[in-house]
Amino acid sequence: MRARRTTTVLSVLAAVTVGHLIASRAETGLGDKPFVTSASEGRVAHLVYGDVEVTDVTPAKYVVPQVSTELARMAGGVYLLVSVKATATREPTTFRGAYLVDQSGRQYRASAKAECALLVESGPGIPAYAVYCFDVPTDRLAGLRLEFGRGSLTYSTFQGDAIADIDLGITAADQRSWPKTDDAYLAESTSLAPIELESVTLTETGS
Amino acid sequence: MRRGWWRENRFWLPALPLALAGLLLASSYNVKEYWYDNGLHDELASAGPGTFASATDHYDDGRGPTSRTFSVRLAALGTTDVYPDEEDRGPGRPPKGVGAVVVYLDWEAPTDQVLRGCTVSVVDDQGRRYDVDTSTFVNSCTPEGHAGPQAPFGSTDERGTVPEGEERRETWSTRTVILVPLGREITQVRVWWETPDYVQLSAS
Repeated sequence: MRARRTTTVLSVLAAVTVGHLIASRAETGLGDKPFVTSASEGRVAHLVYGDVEVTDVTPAKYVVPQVSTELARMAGGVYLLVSVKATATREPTTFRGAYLVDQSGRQYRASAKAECALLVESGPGIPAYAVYCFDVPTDRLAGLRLEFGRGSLTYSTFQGDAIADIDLGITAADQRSWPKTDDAYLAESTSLAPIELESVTLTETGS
Repeated sequence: MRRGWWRENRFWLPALPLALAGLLLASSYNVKEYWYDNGLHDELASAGPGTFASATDHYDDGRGPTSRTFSVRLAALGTTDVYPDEEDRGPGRPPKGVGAVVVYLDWEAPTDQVLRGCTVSVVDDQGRRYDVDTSTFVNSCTPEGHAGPQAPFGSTDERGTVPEGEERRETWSTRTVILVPLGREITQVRVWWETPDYVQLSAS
Protein backbone atom coordinates (compact mmCIF):
# COMPACT_ATOMS: atom_id res chain seq x y z
CA MET A 1 0.00 0.00 0.00
CA ARG A 2 2.84 2.37 0.96
CA ALA A 3 4.73 1.58 -2.26
CA ARG A 4 1.61 2.31 -4.30
CA ARG A 5 1.09 5.65 -2.57
CA THR A 6 4.73 6.60 -3.13
CA THR A 7 4.42 5.75 -6.83
CA THR A 8 1.30 7.90 -7.11
CA VAL A 9 2.97 10.88 -5.40
CA LEU A 10 6.08 10.55 -7.58
CA SER A 11 3.94 10.30 -10.72
CA VAL A 12 2.06 13.48 -9.84
CA LEU A 13 5.31 15.32 -9.07
CA ALA A 14 6.85 14.17 -12.37
CA ALA A 15 3.76 15.27 -14.31
CA VAL A 16 3.80 18.72 -12.65
CA THR A 17 7.54 19.12 -13.35
CA VAL A 18 7.22 18.16 -17.01
CA GLY A 19 4.18 20.43 -17.39
CA HIS A 20 6.08 23.34 -15.84
CA LEU A 21 9.07 22.81 -18.15
CA ILE A 22 6.83 22.71 -21.23
CA ALA A 23 4.84 25.76 -20.13
CA SER A 24 7.93 27.85 -19.30
CA ARG A 25 9.51 27.04 -22.68
CA ALA A 26 6.29 27.74 -24.57
CA GLU A 27 5.96 31.09 -22.78
CA THR A 28 8.65 32.76 -24.89
CA GLY A 29 9.48 30.14 -27.49
CA LEU A 30 13.02 31.50 -27.44
CA GLY A 31 14.60 28.07 -27.53
CA ASP A 32 12.44 26.69 -30.31
CA LYS A 33 14.29 25.86 -33.49
CA PRO A 34 12.78 27.29 -36.67
CA PHE A 35 11.44 25.18 -39.55
CA VAL A 36 14.07 25.65 -42.23
CA THR A 37 13.56 25.69 -46.00
CA SER A 38 16.91 25.65 -47.78
CA ALA A 39 17.59 27.48 -51.03
CA SER A 40 20.40 29.20 -52.88
CA GLU A 41 20.84 32.54 -54.64
CA GLY A 42 18.39 32.82 -57.53
CA ARG A 43 16.12 30.06 -56.24
CA VAL A 44 12.83 30.70 -54.45
CA ALA A 45 12.29 29.35 -50.94
CA HIS A 46 8.57 28.64 -50.45
CA LEU A 47 7.55 29.22 -46.83
CA VAL A 48 4.06 28.70 -45.40
CA TYR A 49 3.50 32.45 -45.29
CA GLY A 50 5.54 33.71 -48.24
CA ASP A 51 8.14 33.21 -50.94
CA VAL A 52 11.70 34.46 -50.52
CA GLU A 53 14.46 34.81 -53.07
CA VAL A 54 17.95 36.31 -52.94
CA THR A 55 18.38 37.94 -56.35
CA ASP A 56 21.86 39.42 -55.98
CA VAL A 57 24.87 39.67 -53.66
CA THR A 58 27.31 42.51 -54.25
CA PRO A 59 30.43 43.40 -52.22
CA ALA A 60 31.25 47.04 -51.52
CA LYS A 61 33.62 49.11 -49.42
CA TYR A 62 31.29 52.09 -49.13
CA VAL A 63 27.56 52.63 -48.89
CA VAL A 64 26.45 56.17 -49.68
CA PRO A 65 23.34 57.64 -48.00
CA GLN A 66 20.52 58.89 -50.21
CA VAL A 67 20.98 62.36 -48.74
CA SER A 68 23.86 63.68 -50.82
CA THR A 69 25.25 65.96 -48.10
CA GLU A 70 25.99 63.03 -45.77
CA LEU A 71 29.35 61.22 -45.76
CA ALA A 72 29.73 57.75 -47.20
CA ARG A 73 29.75 54.86 -44.73
CA MET A 74 32.92 52.73 -44.87
CA ALA A 75 32.76 49.05 -43.97
CA GLY A 76 34.74 47.73 -41.01
CA GLY A 77 35.16 44.51 -42.99
CA VAL A 78 33.36 44.40 -46.31
CA TYR A 79 29.78 45.38 -47.04
CA LEU A 80 27.61 42.69 -48.58
CA LEU A 81 24.61 44.20 -50.34
CA VAL A 82 22.05 41.39 -50.38
CA SER A 83 19.05 41.97 -52.65
CA VAL A 84 15.93 40.09 -51.57
CA LYS A 85 12.51 39.60 -53.17
CA ALA A 86 9.81 38.70 -50.61
CA THR A 87 6.19 37.91 -51.48
CA ALA A 88 3.54 37.18 -48.85
CA THR A 89 0.96 34.54 -49.71
CA ARG A 90 -2.02 34.87 -47.33
CA GLU A 91 -2.02 38.23 -45.59
CA PRO A 92 0.10 41.36 -45.32
CA THR A 93 3.37 40.18 -43.81
CA THR A 94 6.34 41.94 -42.31
CA PHE A 95 9.64 40.11 -42.74
CA ARG A 96 11.57 41.33 -39.69
CA GLY A 97 14.26 38.68 -39.47
CA ALA A 98 17.28 38.90 -41.80
CA TYR A 99 20.63 37.62 -40.56
CA LEU A 100 23.79 36.37 -42.21
CA VAL A 101 25.28 33.25 -40.66
CA ASP A 102 28.87 32.20 -41.26
CA GLN A 103 30.33 28.70 -41.31
CA SER A 104 31.05 28.89 -37.57
CA GLY A 105 27.42 29.75 -36.83
CA ARG A 106 28.11 33.43 -36.04
CA GLN A 107 25.14 35.67 -36.79
CA TYR A 108 25.45 39.13 -38.40
CA ARG A 109 22.69 41.74 -38.37
CA ALA A 110 22.18 44.28 -41.12
CA SER A 111 24.31 47.36 -40.57
CA ALA A 112 22.30 50.18 -39.04
CA LYS A 113 24.76 52.88 -40.10
CA ALA A 114 24.48 51.86 -43.77
CA GLU A 115 20.83 52.99 -43.80
CA CYS A 116 19.71 50.13 -46.02
CA ALA A 117 16.68 47.89 -45.35
CA LEU A 118 16.14 46.48 -41.87
CA LEU A 119 12.77 44.88 -42.66
CA VAL A 120 10.40 44.57 -45.60
CA GLU A 121 6.60 44.43 -45.86
CA SER A 122 4.65 42.61 -48.56
CA GLY A 123 0.98 42.15 -49.41
CA PRO A 124 -0.23 38.77 -50.68
CA GLY A 125 0.98 38.24 -54.24
CA ILE A 126 2.66 41.64 -54.31
CA PRO A 127 6.46 41.25 -54.40
CA ALA A 128 8.47 43.61 -52.23
CA TYR A 129 12.13 44.23 -52.93
CA ALA A 130 14.77 45.07 -50.34
CA VAL A 131 18.52 45.57 -50.16
CA TYR A 132 20.16 44.61 -46.86
CA CYS A 133 23.69 45.85 -46.16
CA PHE A 134 25.76 43.62 -43.88
CA ASP A 135 29.21 44.60 -42.61
CA VAL A 136 31.05 41.27 -42.41
CA PRO A 137 34.65 40.47 -41.33
CA THR A 138 36.79 39.83 -44.41
CA ASP A 139 37.76 36.31 -43.33
CA ARG A 140 34.14 35.18 -42.81
CA LEU A 141 32.70 35.60 -46.30
CA ALA A 142 32.96 32.12 -47.80
CA GLY A 143 29.89 29.97 -47.20
CA LEU A 144 27.74 32.75 -45.76
CA ARG A 145 24.01 32.01 -45.63
CA LEU A 146 21.03 34.33 -45.23
CA GLU A 147 18.44 33.35 -42.64
CA PHE A 148 15.25 35.17 -43.51
CA GLY A 149 11.71 35.11 -42.09
CA ARG A 150 9.06 36.96 -40.09
CA GLY A 151 11.26 37.06 -37.01
CA SER A 152 10.31 38.52 -33.68
CA LEU A 153 9.44 42.09 -32.84
CA THR A 154 11.17 41.76 -29.47
CA TYR A 155 13.89 39.13 -29.80
CA SER A 156 16.59 38.44 -32.39
CA THR A 157 15.23 34.97 -32.99
CA PHE A 158 12.79 33.19 -35.25
CA GLN A 159 10.97 31.48 -32.34
CA GLY A 160 10.09 28.21 -34.02
CA ASP A 161 8.69 29.90 -37.13
CA ALA A 162 9.32 28.88 -40.75
CA ILE A 163 12.41 30.52 -42.25
CA ALA A 164 14.42 30.46 -45.46
CA ASP A 165 18.07 29.45 -45.20
CA ILE A 166 19.67 30.70 -48.39
CA ASP A 167 23.22 29.90 -49.46
CA LEU A 168 24.71 33.06 -50.96
CA GLY A 169 27.17 31.05 -53.07
CA ILE A 170 30.25 32.92 -51.84
CA THR A 171 33.40 30.93 -52.60
CA ALA A 172 36.88 30.93 -51.11
CA ALA A 173 38.05 32.82 -54.22
CA ASP A 174 35.39 35.49 -53.55
CA GLN A 175 36.65 35.72 -49.98
CA ARG A 176 40.14 36.51 -51.28
CA SER A 177 39.05 39.08 -53.90
CA TRP A 178 36.02 40.84 -52.39
CA PRO A 179 37.86 42.56 -49.50
CA LYS A 180 40.00 44.38 -52.09
CA THR A 181 36.99 46.15 -53.59
CA ASP A 182 36.77 49.95 -53.48
CA ASP A 183 33.23 50.01 -54.88
CA ALA A 184 30.66 52.41 -53.50
CA TYR A 185 26.90 52.09 -53.96
CA LEU A 186 23.94 54.26 -53.12
CA ALA A 187 22.08 52.98 -50.04
CA GLU A 188 18.81 51.34 -51.03
CA SER A 189 16.02 50.19 -48.72
CA THR A 190 12.71 48.74 -49.94
CA SER A 191 10.60 49.17 -53.05
CA LEU A 192 7.64 47.69 -54.92
CA ALA A 193 9.83 47.56 -58.03
CA PRO A 194 13.09 45.62 -58.49
CA ILE A 195 16.04 47.63 -57.17
CA GLU A 196 19.06 48.29 -59.41
CA LEU A 197 22.15 49.13 -57.36
CA GLU A 198 23.57 52.51 -58.34
CA SER A 199 27.36 52.81 -58.40
CA VAL A 200 28.68 56.03 -56.89
CA THR A 201 31.99 57.82 -57.52
CA LEU A 202 33.21 59.31 -54.27
CA THR A 203 34.82 62.73 -53.98
CA GLU A 204 36.96 63.83 -51.05
CA THR A 205 35.67 66.59 -48.83
CA GLY A 206 37.71 69.07 -46.80
CA SER A 207 37.67 68.40 -43.07
CA MET B 1 -8.19 -6.54 -16.46
CA ARG B 2 -9.66 -7.40 -13.12
CA ARG B 3 -13.32 -6.52 -12.70
CA GLY B 4 -12.47 -5.08 -9.30
CA TRP B 5 -10.15 -2.47 -10.86
CA TRP B 6 -12.96 -1.00 -13.00
CA ARG B 7 -15.24 -1.00 -9.98
CA GLU B 8 -12.59 0.66 -7.84
CA ASN B 9 -12.04 3.44 -10.42
CA ARG B 10 -15.64 3.85 -11.55
CA PHE B 11 -15.72 7.50 -10.43
CA TRP B 12 -12.23 8.50 -11.57
CA LEU B 13 -12.45 7.14 -15.11
CA PRO B 14 -15.38 9.38 -16.21
CA ALA B 15 -13.59 12.31 -14.59
CA LEU B 16 -10.47 11.75 -16.70
CA PRO B 17 -11.77 13.35 -19.97
CA LEU B 18 -13.12 16.28 -17.97
CA ALA B 19 -9.74 16.72 -16.26
CA LEU B 20 -7.97 16.61 -19.63
CA ALA B 21 -10.39 19.20 -21.06
CA GLY B 22 -9.76 21.42 -18.04
CA LEU B 23 -6.01 20.98 -18.46
CA LEU B 24 -6.14 22.01 -22.13
CA LEU B 25 -8.36 24.99 -21.32
CA ALA B 26 -6.06 26.16 -18.54
CA SER B 27 -2.96 25.94 -20.70
CA SER B 28 -4.45 27.59 -23.79
CA TYR B 29 -4.23 31.15 -22.50
CA ASN B 30 -1.44 31.89 -25.00
CA VAL B 31 -3.80 31.12 -27.88
CA LYS B 32 -5.64 34.37 -27.15
CA GLU B 33 -2.49 36.49 -26.92
CA TYR B 34 -0.55 34.98 -29.82
CA TRP B 35 -3.37 34.12 -32.23
CA TYR B 36 -6.77 35.64 -31.41
CA ASP B 37 -5.56 39.11 -30.44
CA ASN B 38 -2.98 39.12 -33.21
CA GLY B 39 -5.36 38.93 -36.18
CA LEU B 40 -8.75 40.17 -37.32
CA HIS B 41 -10.97 37.72 -35.43
CA ASP B 42 -13.63 39.86 -33.73
CA GLU B 43 -16.29 41.20 -36.10
CA LEU B 44 -17.87 44.23 -34.43
CA ALA B 45 -20.49 44.79 -37.11
CA SER B 46 -21.20 43.94 -40.74
CA ALA B 47 -23.36 45.21 -43.57
CA GLY B 48 -24.08 44.61 -47.23
CA PRO B 49 -23.26 46.99 -50.09
CA GLY B 50 -24.73 50.45 -49.61
CA THR B 51 -25.91 49.70 -46.07
CA PHE B 52 -24.45 51.36 -42.99
CA ALA B 53 -22.78 49.18 -40.33
CA SER B 54 -22.75 50.81 -36.89
CA ALA B 55 -20.13 49.83 -34.33
CA THR B 56 -18.63 50.78 -31.00
CA ASP B 57 -14.98 49.83 -30.81
CA HIS B 58 -13.57 49.56 -27.28
CA TYR B 59 -9.84 50.24 -26.96
CA ASP B 60 -7.19 51.78 -24.69
CA ASP B 61 -5.59 55.14 -25.33
CA GLY B 62 -2.93 56.94 -23.27
CA ARG B 63 -5.42 57.66 -20.50
CA GLY B 64 -7.02 54.23 -20.27
CA PRO B 65 -10.08 52.39 -21.59
CA THR B 66 -12.29 54.29 -24.02
CA SER B 67 -14.30 53.68 -27.18
CA ARG B 68 -15.20 55.08 -30.58
CA THR B 69 -18.64 54.92 -32.16
CA PHE B 70 -19.20 55.31 -35.87
CA SER B 71 -21.19 54.13 -38.87
CA VAL B 72 -19.67 53.26 -42.21
CA ARG B 73 -20.95 51.93 -45.52
CA LEU B 74 -19.33 50.73 -48.71
CA ALA B 75 -20.47 53.17 -51.38
CA ALA B 76 -18.52 51.62 -54.26
CA LEU B 77 -15.43 49.75 -55.35
CA GLY B 78 -13.45 50.88 -58.37
CA THR B 79 -10.06 50.70 -60.00
CA THR B 80 -7.47 53.27 -60.96
CA ASP B 81 -4.26 53.41 -62.95
CA VAL B 82 -2.79 55.96 -60.60
CA TYR B 83 -1.23 54.88 -57.34
CA PRO B 84 0.28 57.38 -54.91
CA ASP B 85 3.98 56.64 -54.71
CA GLU B 86 5.34 57.46 -51.29
CA GLU B 87 8.96 57.72 -52.40
CA ASP B 88 8.30 59.98 -55.36
CA ARG B 89 5.61 61.94 -53.47
CA GLY B 90 3.50 61.80 -56.57
CA PRO B 91 1.16 59.54 -58.51
CA GLY B 92 2.58 56.63 -60.45
CA ARG B 93 1.43 53.38 -61.98
CA PRO B 94 1.06 50.25 -59.83
CA PRO B 95 3.87 47.68 -60.19
CA LYS B 96 3.71 45.15 -63.04
CA GLY B 97 1.02 42.50 -62.49
CA VAL B 98 -0.62 44.52 -59.73
CA GLY B 99 -3.78 46.64 -59.88
CA ALA B 100 -5.04 49.46 -57.69
CA VAL B 101 -8.49 49.04 -56.11
CA VAL B 102 -10.33 52.16 -54.97
CA VAL B 103 -12.57 51.82 -51.90
CA TYR B 104 -15.23 54.53 -51.54
CA LEU B 105 -16.68 54.71 -48.02
CA ASP B 106 -19.38 56.93 -46.49
CA TRP B 107 -19.06 57.75 -42.80
CA GLU B 108 -21.22 59.05 -39.93
CA ALA B 109 -19.86 59.79 -36.46
CA PRO B 110 -20.10 62.45 -33.74
CA THR B 111 -17.37 65.03 -34.13
CA ASP B 112 -15.69 64.04 -30.82
CA GLN B 113 -14.90 60.47 -31.87
CA VAL B 114 -11.22 59.62 -32.48
CA LEU B 115 -11.03 58.03 -35.92
CA ARG B 116 -7.42 58.73 -36.88
CA GLY B 117 -5.01 55.97 -37.79
CA CYS B 118 -7.38 53.32 -39.13
CA THR B 119 -6.59 50.68 -41.73
CA VAL B 120 -8.82 49.82 -44.67
CA SER B 121 -8.37 46.32 -46.07
CA VAL B 122 -9.96 44.34 -48.86
CA VAL B 123 -10.38 40.56 -48.87
CA ASP B 124 -10.60 38.41 -51.98
CA ASP B 125 -12.73 35.32 -52.64
CA GLN B 126 -9.89 33.09 -51.37
CA GLY B 127 -9.73 34.92 -48.03
CA ARG B 128 -6.49 36.77 -48.80
CA ARG B 129 -6.30 40.20 -47.18
CA TYR B 130 -4.74 43.30 -48.70
CA ASP B 131 -4.11 46.37 -46.52
CA VAL B 132 -3.80 49.98 -47.46
CA ASP B 133 -0.24 51.26 -47.26
CA THR B 134 -0.55 53.17 -44.00
CA SER B 135 2.63 55.12 -44.67
CA THR B 136 0.96 56.63 -47.75
CA PHE B 137 -2.61 56.82 -46.40
CA VAL B 138 -2.10 57.85 -42.77
CA ASN B 139 -5.75 58.63 -42.07
CA SER B 140 -7.81 56.49 -44.44
CA CYS B 141 -11.06 56.94 -42.51
CA THR B 142 -11.24 60.70 -42.12
CA PRO B 143 -11.54 63.63 -44.55
CA GLU B 144 -8.20 64.92 -45.80
CA GLY B 145 -6.94 67.70 -43.52
CA HIS B 146 -9.94 67.29 -41.17
CA ALA B 147 -9.12 64.18 -39.15
CA GLY B 148 -10.82 65.48 -35.98
CA PRO B 149 -9.68 64.80 -32.41
CA GLN B 150 -6.33 63.20 -31.57
CA ALA B 151 -5.92 60.32 -29.15
CA PRO B 152 -4.03 61.31 -25.98
CA PHE B 153 -0.49 59.88 -25.91
CA GLY B 154 -0.05 59.92 -22.14
CA SER B 155 -2.10 60.02 -18.97
CA THR B 156 -1.58 63.78 -18.64
CA ASP B 157 -2.86 64.58 -22.14
CA GLU B 158 -6.43 65.76 -22.64
CA ARG B 159 -8.93 63.71 -24.61
CA GLY B 160 -10.73 65.32 -27.51
CA THR B 161 -7.99 67.76 -28.53
CA VAL B 162 -8.50 68.89 -32.13
CA PRO B 163 -5.62 70.65 -33.88
CA GLU B 164 -6.67 74.05 -35.20
CA GLY B 165 -8.47 73.77 -38.52
CA GLU B 166 -8.74 69.97 -38.42
CA GLU B 167 -12.32 69.80 -37.11
CA ARG B 168 -14.36 67.01 -38.70
CA ARG B 169 -17.95 67.08 -39.89
CA GLU B 170 -20.56 64.50 -38.76
CA THR B 171 -20.83 62.94 -42.22
CA TRP B 172 -18.14 62.58 -44.85
CA SER B 173 -16.77 60.27 -47.53
CA THR B 174 -13.32 58.76 -48.08
CA ARG B 175 -11.44 57.28 -51.03
CA THR B 176 -8.66 54.77 -50.37
CA VAL B 177 -6.41 53.06 -52.90
CA ILE B 178 -5.14 49.53 -52.17
CA LEU B 179 -2.76 47.45 -54.27
CA VAL B 180 -4.13 44.03 -55.28
CA PRO B 181 -2.64 41.53 -57.76
CA LEU B 182 -4.50 41.55 -61.08
CA GLY B 183 -7.31 39.01 -61.48
CA ARG B 184 -8.33 38.81 -57.82
CA GLU B 185 -12.04 39.15 -56.97
CA ILE B 186 -12.72 41.41 -54.01
CA THR B 187 -15.58 40.22 -51.81
CA GLN B 188 -15.18 42.18 -48.57
CA VAL B 189 -13.90 45.45 -47.20
CA ARG B 190 -12.68 45.63 -43.61
CA VAL B 191 -12.16 48.72 -41.49
CA TRP B 192 -10.07 48.40 -38.33
CA TRP B 193 -7.80 50.18 -35.88
CA GLU B 194 -6.31 47.50 -33.68
CA THR B 195 -6.63 43.73 -33.96
CA PRO B 196 -8.73 41.69 -33.28
CA ASP B 197 -11.69 44.07 -33.85
CA TYR B 198 -12.98 45.02 -37.30
CA VAL B 199 -16.08 46.09 -39.21
CA GLN B 200 -16.90 44.07 -42.29
CA LEU B 201 -18.63 45.43 -45.39
CA SER B 202 -19.64 42.98 -48.10
CA ALA B 203 -18.84 43.96 -51.65
CA SER B 204 -21.50 41.75 -53.23
